Amino acid sequence: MKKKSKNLIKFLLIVITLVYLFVLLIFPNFYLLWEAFKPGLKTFYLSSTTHYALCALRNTGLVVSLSLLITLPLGILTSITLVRDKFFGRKFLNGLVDLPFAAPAAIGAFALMSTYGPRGLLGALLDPLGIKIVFALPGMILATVFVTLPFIIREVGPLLEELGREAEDAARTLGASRWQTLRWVTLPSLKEGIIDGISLSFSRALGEFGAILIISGNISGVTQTMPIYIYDAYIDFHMEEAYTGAVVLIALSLAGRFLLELWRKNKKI
Amino acid sequence: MSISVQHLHKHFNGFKAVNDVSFSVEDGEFVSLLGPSGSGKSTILRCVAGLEIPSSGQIMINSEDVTHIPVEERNVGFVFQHYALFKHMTVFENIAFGLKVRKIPRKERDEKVKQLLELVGLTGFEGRMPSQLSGGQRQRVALARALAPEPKLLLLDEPFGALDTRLRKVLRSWLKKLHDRVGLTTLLVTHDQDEAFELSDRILVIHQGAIQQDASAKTIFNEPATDFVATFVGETNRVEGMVRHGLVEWGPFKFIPLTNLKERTKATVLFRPIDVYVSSQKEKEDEVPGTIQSTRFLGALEELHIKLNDGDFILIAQIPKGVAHESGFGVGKKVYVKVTSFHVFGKIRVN
Repeated sequence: MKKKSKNLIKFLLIVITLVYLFVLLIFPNFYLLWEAFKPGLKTFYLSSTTHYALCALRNTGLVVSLSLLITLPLGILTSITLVRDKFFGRKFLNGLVDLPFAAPAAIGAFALMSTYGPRGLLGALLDPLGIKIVFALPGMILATVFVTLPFIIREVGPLLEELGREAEDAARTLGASRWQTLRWVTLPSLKEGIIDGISLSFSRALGEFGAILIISGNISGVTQTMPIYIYDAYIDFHMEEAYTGAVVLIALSLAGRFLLELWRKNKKI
Repeated sequence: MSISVQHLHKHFNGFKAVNDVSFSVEDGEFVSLLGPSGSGKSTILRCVAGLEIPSSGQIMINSEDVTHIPVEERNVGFVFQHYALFKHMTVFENIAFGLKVRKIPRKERDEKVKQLLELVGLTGFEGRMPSQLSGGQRQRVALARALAPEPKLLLLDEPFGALDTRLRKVLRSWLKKLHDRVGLTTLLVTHDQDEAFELSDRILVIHQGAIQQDASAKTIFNEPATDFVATFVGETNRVEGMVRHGLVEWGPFKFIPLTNLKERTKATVLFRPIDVYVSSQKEKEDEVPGTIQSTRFLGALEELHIKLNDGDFILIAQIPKGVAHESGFGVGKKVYVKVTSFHVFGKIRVN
């Protein structure tokens, strides 16, 4: 009797999980795929290679990769400083790192806008030099760096605490320079955190909408990224373009995840 | 290689962790820094290694001033209490690390690691990760790793502190044999006096950042230089007496100090439980009557807590188990005691 009721509970739990995942995740996404490919592969190809679609794809690629190139080393460096150095104001800075989590991304972009915009304090200085930040790629990258800033720092921090100083001290006594110690002892010990941080930053950068919308000025064919392109297509009733755009974005996200998992399994690097 | 440390000071935010320490270690010697935790002994070791920069003072290795030479250029082997193995590397890679950073050719490197695995008795474990090893095995890997670059000296910071008693003894005698064989100048930091006694040619007792005594184990045990050494090393009866007519009086006992002490001042008398002579009949005039209050089993020795009949004085004696049994020393037994060896620390009289 008791065993029977236990089995029943188990069965119910599985059903609930499946229904939940199906309703929210599996069905909508497969429906999306179906809608995207319904008119045929040729239409899919044509609508995903328009000038606007390709421009959005290129911008997304640039924003994601360049923002990661900035947050990764700086995130690790900031993490090391925050964990290891005891300086005045460390606690305050430590709290400040979470600001992009706490405040809506649009506000961050707005702050960047008011600082680097043509009438902003720094924007007014850069504009005469021909350097454009807002309504251009640099601003979009800055906004993405802003929203992804905490991920690497927060993922790497706990691992650094756990690592402590002894392994590094040991490396130094064995004749390793500071650089060799960083390369062969510190960074490999942080690998899991670095991968998790990149993974979260990557997803966030890929899908960022609000911040990019504000800072890019949404100039189609110039500063649009994939999420904004999809949004625009949808608003203008270009459903086919919206669907293909969505599928491309999903494919990019999965490919990124796949590569990161490959790296995680790789023992060498 | 020899070590010479001169007037070493190390302050942390105003706290004097090491306060004017000077000592030297001869080539091939095994010296222990013995002291309670927080005494500054680890800091001294870390200064010798170059992991801490001294506030002032000089450190020489083989007559060369290394005070300002960075740690990676000192070529010292260092073993940490918690092993500090590289968790993401195999046993082989851990041991090979010091050779890899020196860009030793692969063939030579492999050969050397093989030899070291044999030396520490871990042949066949090269492919394991540190997490797959026991504590004792990890510490042996750490030792092999420290020895790989053929260091000039070996520095051990509480190397067996994280291991259980039995394993500690096994590794201790193994380390002793290793030192006899390799003959590397070794500096050991420990709070365990048995460890220091068994391994070292010489012991430096450290307390509050300063050297209390620098001598052989035998001298430290038999002739402690300070009150602290006598209390810290071995078990001790520590009593306070009063100086009267040149003698230190404690209850019915009168101790004769080696130096002239100031009259009517307090003096500390220290004597070891094994230096208390206990008999069931009065044999000599200076034996004092007492009663056994409690006993404690210590393995080969029996510990007796004896209350003196004259006043409220208690002392601890340790006698061989056989003797205790023969004489029928149990709780409530009336006995006679005498202190055969003692040390007095008090205010010296200046004439």
